[in-house]
Amino acid sequence: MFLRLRVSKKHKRVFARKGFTLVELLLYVAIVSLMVSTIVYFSITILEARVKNQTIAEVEQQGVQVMQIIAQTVRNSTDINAPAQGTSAATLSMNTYTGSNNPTIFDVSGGVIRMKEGSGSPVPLTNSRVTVSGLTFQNLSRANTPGVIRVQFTITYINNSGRNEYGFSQVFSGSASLR
Amino acid sequence: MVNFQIKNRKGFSLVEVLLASVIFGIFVATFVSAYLYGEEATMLAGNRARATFLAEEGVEAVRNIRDAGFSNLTDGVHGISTSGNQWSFSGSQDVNGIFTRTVTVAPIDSKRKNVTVNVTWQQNAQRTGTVSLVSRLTNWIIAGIGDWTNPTETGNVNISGNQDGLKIATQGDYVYVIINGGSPDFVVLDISNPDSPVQVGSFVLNGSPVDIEVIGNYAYIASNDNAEELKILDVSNPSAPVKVGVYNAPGNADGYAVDVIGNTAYLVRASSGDNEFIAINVTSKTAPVALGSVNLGDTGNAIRVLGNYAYVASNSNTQELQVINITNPSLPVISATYNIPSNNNAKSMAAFGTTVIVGTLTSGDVRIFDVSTPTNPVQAGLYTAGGNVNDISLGNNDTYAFLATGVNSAEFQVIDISNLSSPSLLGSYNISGNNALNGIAYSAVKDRAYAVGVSNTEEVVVIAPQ
Repeated sequence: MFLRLRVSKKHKRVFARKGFTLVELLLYVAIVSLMVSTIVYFSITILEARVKNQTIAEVEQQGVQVMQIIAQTVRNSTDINAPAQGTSAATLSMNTYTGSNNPTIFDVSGGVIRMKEGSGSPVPLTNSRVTVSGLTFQNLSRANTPGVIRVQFTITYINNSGRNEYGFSQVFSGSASLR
Repeated sequence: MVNFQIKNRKGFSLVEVLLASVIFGIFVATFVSAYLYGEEATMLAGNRARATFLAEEGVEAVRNIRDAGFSNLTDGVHGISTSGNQWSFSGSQDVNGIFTRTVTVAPIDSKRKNVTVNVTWQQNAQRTGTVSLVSRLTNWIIAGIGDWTNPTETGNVNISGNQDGLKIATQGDYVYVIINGGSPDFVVLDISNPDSPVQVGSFVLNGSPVDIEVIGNYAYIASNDNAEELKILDVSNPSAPVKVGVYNAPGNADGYAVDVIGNTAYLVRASSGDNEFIAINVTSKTAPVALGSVNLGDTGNAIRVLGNYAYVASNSNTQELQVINITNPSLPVISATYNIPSNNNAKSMAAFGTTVIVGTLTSGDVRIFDVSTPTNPVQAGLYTAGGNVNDISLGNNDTYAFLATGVNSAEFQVIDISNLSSPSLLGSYNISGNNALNGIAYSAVKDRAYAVGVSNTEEVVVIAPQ
């Protein structure tokens, strides 16, 4: 099965030129399949991790952005129309220093937080990738103060396929005082 | 001889394959863990963002607590809670999910506090995350008060007719004046320009008003009218005040003073066979209903309510200060009295915290009482104005008392009551002529004292610090 080739007398080196045995072939196939499956598994993990990462970032960033917009608007307001002192509501209505923006209203409609300034049409603050629930504004002001509003909402990534990498939900809460 | 060399051309050995796999595995694991750590980092960043919101919330909540009164900022380490539907300090920390929040209030000086909000949380098994926000809150209201050691008159209003101005109340951009038997006898002045009040509305009341209190959209007026001892006016439109409800107390004794707390008005009257003290439910402004009453034995000239007790300044010679337990407003009970030496009638009153200030006629005693134990008022300090103390108004976070007096050389007096045991004269102003002041109201937002008196040419005077 193998050839011996005498090359030189000086160099007493023997080289082999062998083929594959069945065992070797099987071993090869086994190793390759193991490696391929490992590669595929890790590739999928990487892709899932990337998607999950994107999902989390989407939820976190939209939450932070909405919270900052609401907090900033509250800080720049003159007074709170609703909810009344000591109560909470799903809609926040405030007056600002710009007459044409009165009232400025935040509410949630169809899972989207919206901001409406004066007679303008509502502007969505969150995009179609996420849905917002449990939007609550609490007027926690003490008597005879400019006022303070506590905001809380939950942002959930829309996950129609039910896959883990698209599933993420986070509760955001914060407060802002009128100046 | 052909001397050629053939290179070793064997396949990979199993060892080499394993080695390659391991190296490959290390690379893959690196990338996978990079992504997984990236995901965790995004989560941690999110937690940090929320921790920042919580810390911000702490600062904003403390700001609102400050807005309600600088003295609310007690030094120390606190948690905050929303109990009673308002932000308040509670315990030494508060927990929100994985986050623990502490609010530390530290004094800088008498007018400034340092507020540090710390939020800590467990990032993972090994590491703790911390967000710390520091803010500095000032007592800008106190900082905004002028120097009252040398007050001057900066404006006045001559209301038609020569009737005497009796009492005055202020709220926001308006002052509300009642005049003895004038027509009109209820006048609203706009003080958008603090030194130039402008009459914007008025109303003609039945009978003569004696005392006034303004809360929100309503003015409560004690009157000598036999059918309307308490009148309620809607002043939401300052240019067109309108009477919305009245309370007719039993008998014909004149209403002398009123204090309103929440939905209850407390009225005291001239001495008569009927009860002098009446608690009235004013939840319905159009139909006030008496809750309960008690006989004081003599005329009540002024009334202030602190917590479950009402304090009455009385004409009585043996109990110038009367303390009435109103825990059950339908069953008020006199629970303590205090006999001020001399028989001068107690005429005026002011109250805050656990302190009641009583002003008397003639000698002009301004007696400061500690009512920490309401059933046992203890005199803490005494100032003598030298003439009738007709009205008292508080200012500068309850450290100044503004007096409307009948002292001809100094009708307007400001006393410093920051040390309750040693009140001292800060400044005074002599109204032209011998025209006594009957009523006074200090406006913290304008830093002006608005006084009314008997002068025929300047019923209302504006007194400003320098």
